[in-house]
Amino acid sequence: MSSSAKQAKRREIWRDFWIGLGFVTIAVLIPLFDPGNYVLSQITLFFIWAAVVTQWNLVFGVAGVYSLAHMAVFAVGGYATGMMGLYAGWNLWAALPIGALAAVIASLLIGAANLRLRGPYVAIMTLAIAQVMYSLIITDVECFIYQGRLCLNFTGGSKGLIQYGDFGFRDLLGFKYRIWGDYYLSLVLLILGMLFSLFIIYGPLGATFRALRDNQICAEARGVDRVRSQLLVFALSGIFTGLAGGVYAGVQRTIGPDMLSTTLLLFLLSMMVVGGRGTKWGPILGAGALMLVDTTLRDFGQIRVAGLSLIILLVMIFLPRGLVGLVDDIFRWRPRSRWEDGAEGGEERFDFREYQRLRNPKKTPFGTARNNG
Amino acid sequence: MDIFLQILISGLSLGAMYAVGTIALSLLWGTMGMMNLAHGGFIAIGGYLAYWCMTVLGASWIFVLPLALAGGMLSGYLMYHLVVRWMFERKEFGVDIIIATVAIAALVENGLLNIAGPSAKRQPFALSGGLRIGDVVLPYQTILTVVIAIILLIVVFYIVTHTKLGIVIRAISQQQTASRLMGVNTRSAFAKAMMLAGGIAAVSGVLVTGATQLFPSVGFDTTIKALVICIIAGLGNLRGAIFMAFVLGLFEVAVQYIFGQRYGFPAMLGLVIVVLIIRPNGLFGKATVDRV
Repeated sequence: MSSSAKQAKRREIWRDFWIGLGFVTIAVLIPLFDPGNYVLSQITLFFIWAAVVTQWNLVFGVAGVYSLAHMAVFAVGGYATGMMGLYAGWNLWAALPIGALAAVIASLLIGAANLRLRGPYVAIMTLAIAQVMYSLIITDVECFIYQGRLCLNFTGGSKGLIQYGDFGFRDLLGFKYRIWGDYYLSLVLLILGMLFSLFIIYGPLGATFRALRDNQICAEARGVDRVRSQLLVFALSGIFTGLAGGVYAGVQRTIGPDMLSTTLLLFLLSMMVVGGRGTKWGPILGAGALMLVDTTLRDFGQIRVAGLSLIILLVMIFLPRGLVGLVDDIFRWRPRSRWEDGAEGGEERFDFREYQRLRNPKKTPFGTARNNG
Repeated sequence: MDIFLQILISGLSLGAMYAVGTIALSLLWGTMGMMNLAHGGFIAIGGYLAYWCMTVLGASWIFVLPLALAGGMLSGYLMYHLVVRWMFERKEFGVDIIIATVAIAALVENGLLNIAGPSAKRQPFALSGGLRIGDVVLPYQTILTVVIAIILLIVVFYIVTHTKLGIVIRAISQQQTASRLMGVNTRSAFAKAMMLAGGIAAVSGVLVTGATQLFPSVGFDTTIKALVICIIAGLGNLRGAIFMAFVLGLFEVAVQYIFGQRYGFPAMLGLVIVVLIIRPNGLFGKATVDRV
């Protein structure tokens, strides 16, 4: 790596550091202003969804494996945590690692089932896998244990699992501040998940994943092991997704098959798409934007899904790079040579037309056009 | 023996439905490289148009299929011009269009939910009763479904092999850039392909809902299954897709009879995954070579 590229990378790391620090500071301070339980619980949910989307983004955006089964991985984490609490009587804190482990295994299996497929094929297969899980859960009617005369299914069936306990914030902090515990726990989850994803994106693994995404044949010719990388990205993204599932199960005190519904899938997918897939801050930005929209649309309950779908369509048509792309365009509006950007732009892809335009500047009556600005 | 016949009959009718779905999806994949997850939306539109035609308008059953066909074609046309054409030139069209069509499917589903309500309705365009063969009853609805499905398949094959549009579609699916250089109007061909796919889906929607029930998300399962069948046959391969549709339809019904209703789709998907691990390009697909 040349020294200027190193410098650019360092500058970018510092920029990410300041963005992150600003975000965390605001997030830590919000409860002190006592905005009310509803707002706090919505923000808690936002942290959890943002943590899930950052991990999904590793698979979908950074590695370019179009998996739509990420909510299934999340659900496995949540269900495993809830089941450990319900059937084994474990404390949920102890059940969290089990949930993460189960999610990693589920994610690995999904990754392995799609190893030999590419591009859009993966999207269909993963969607089918998620749909199968959903239908298996909602048609689950066999009794697993009896609670009194009440029959409980292994997965809880269409009603979902309940009464497996929570993280015990009520005893620790009292009834009024229980929500603070949930809030800060989810924030910690998001921070750790985000750090994890940043480490991967900046590290050699991220470079490997991007290389496979941008040009699989070139990457394989240079010695990148595709099978190993794909399994690795699925396993890695499973860790915090499973933890997020467990935290969700503990915070909501219920987990049900609606975690696998298309509506929720669409909601989280739109977070990633609206934010900007494959970018570092896109998932969090998108999750924030979508939670805001969702909270607004909740008053119009009936058309909530329609509103979300319209937003996705508009963003797909007008802002294919998402909000991060928009912010990027605004900040880089001052015409600059692409070659300066290329060094720092980890997300930039090689654009042959752009390259040709820069190599062969078009002569115009007003001088030589150096860029498209 | 009776159970065997029963499985065969149900499997054939299910397979016919999958075949119609897969042919509409293969058509779009072949011409535009687009996976249409909004297919289920078209199915629901067809079903509800038929329902409204007969209950609200009180029209005769004769008008149902033409109306569904027209409604589906119009939906396809609108979808192309409102959404698909703006995304087509992109490098990531393949995945962008999946996201967009999932959104369209949700939009249609939510719209129908708001207009018609969530309760499942009975499709009035359905035949009751059946033909008795020994101890087995062959429902008239099944016969109708299979017959119309076969007519649709023949029409599509005729269009693809014998008409100018068919030549254009095949040319585009083989060499898009070259066909454009030869003066083919790809945009108009895309719009027509989408109209064709939309019309087929809507007509199949009338039949699907006639056999089961009518609710806003009725087409989603069929879409996913039809897409999975397309993948296992090798996308873009029409004959293989139709063959696999019948095979997997029979397989699914057989599993449902033997192991219970809920294991049909999981077993089918498991089979597909195993096949794809052995033959990643599908059973009848050819390996394509990407050039760097």
